[in-house]
Amino acid sequence: MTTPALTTSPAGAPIDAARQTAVLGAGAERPGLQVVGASVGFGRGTPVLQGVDLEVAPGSTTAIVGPSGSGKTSLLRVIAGFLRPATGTVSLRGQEVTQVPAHRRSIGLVAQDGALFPHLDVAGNIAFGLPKGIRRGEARRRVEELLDLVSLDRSHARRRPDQLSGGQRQRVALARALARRPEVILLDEPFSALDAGLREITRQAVREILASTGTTTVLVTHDQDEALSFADQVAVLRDGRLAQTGTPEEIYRRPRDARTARFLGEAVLLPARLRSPGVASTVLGDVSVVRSEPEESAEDRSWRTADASATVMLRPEQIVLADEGVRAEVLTSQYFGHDTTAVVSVDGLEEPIRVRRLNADPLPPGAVVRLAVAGPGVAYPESEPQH
Amino acid sequence: MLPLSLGPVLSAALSAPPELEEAARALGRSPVQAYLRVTLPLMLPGIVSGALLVLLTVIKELPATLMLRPTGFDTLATRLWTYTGNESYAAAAPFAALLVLVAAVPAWMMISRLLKEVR
Repeated sequence: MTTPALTTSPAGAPIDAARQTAVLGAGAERPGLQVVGASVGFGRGTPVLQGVDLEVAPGSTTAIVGPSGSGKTSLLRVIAGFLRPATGTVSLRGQEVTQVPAHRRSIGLVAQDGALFPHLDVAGNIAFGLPKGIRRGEARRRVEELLDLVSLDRSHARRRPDQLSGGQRQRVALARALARRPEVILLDEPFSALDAGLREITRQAVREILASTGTTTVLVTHDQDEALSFADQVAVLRDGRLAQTGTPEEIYRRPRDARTARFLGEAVLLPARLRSPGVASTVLGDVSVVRSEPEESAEDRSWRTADASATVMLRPEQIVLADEGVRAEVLTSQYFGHDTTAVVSVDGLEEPIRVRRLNADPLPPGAVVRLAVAGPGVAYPESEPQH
Repeated sequence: MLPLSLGPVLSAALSAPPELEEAARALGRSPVQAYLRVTLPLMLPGIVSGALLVLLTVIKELPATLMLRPTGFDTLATRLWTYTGNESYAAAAPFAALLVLVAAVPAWMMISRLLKEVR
């Protein structure tokens, strides 16, 4: 199957294949999307991307998350074919497409503002994505199908893009991108222009639509909550390199270093000494710790027993109030509705730490509480670079 | 004439951002097709506006026409100028009227487009 043939292939075929491989398990199959050693540099200075390796299983969703300037948009443009990497390859379903121009790749792109064509109505925009030479009746049927898919009323078909709300525009953009049944859908910060409530609804809807069509998806975002909640796999991009790739749980619970930990949410970093295997003593008492990588080699395990200094990373929700525990004094409380974050100072710690409690009233400043630790922390032996 | 058309054409170019052309290419159109189906249609109104503005100026243009016209070549404006120079206003009147009428067409087209955009 060549890529150009896929763009005009009849309804259904690529999607069914994607769904099948998703069911059979991704490991044995060729990845839906594979980027190997992609580097991009603009002139001199620091390269924008350096040796990025990314693999997305067919039918799965990967979020590329990183601060602005980390190169995530460049990576997306490399995958889309708008930017040719200096080195490295891009493959769609095992087929290398590095030298294939954007319009011959089987990709769909949803931009931040939707990038709808203002001179065409909704139906015209969606039909733009349909294969050329399709009959008019068939085109109309497909447009209606796609409008149904993205839960837009068919009466919207004759509207102009400027008559739509932000959420509706993104739905149309998604329908347009799905019209030619691409191998991979690229979402470039598609929800960031929407306000909070609408963003959540649209995000959920888009996730369901993409899951139902079994489309391999790459989402680019700077919003870590969005990345964690949207994707099956999260890739953290920093300064043009992939800092870590893994499931949302892995990335959040076992970030590879303190900087990644901080980027993915609030982190409490405690100086510690590693005692017996898997236990570190901190000011909050003895804390069970794990290494950031799930699998450990034999020599890797030796660090646990060593009496070495390390930094232990905990999430604020892992620090809980207890009847017995380390004494701490509340400095301030922030009330977020669903949770309350208290900033507390602990004896023996220079920096105050944050404690997050669900469904709780804010603690008054000055209150004295006892703290305990729930669940394992992540230990970073001192030799690792800390930021 | 160039500065006159620059404004509308520039604003036309701005109304067709490169993201839209990229969107078209991501939808399987070649760069040429993307240009013809997205960028050009979006720019066309601006280009037409610019052309109409220039046309209007060319019709009423006198000094440049007097200097550059081939011998025996008359425009409405030169005729008007010749007759008013002789103080034969009655003879000049039809040319003046025609000039107003001809100029009114592009002016009306631009105004109606403007009104449509406002609405």
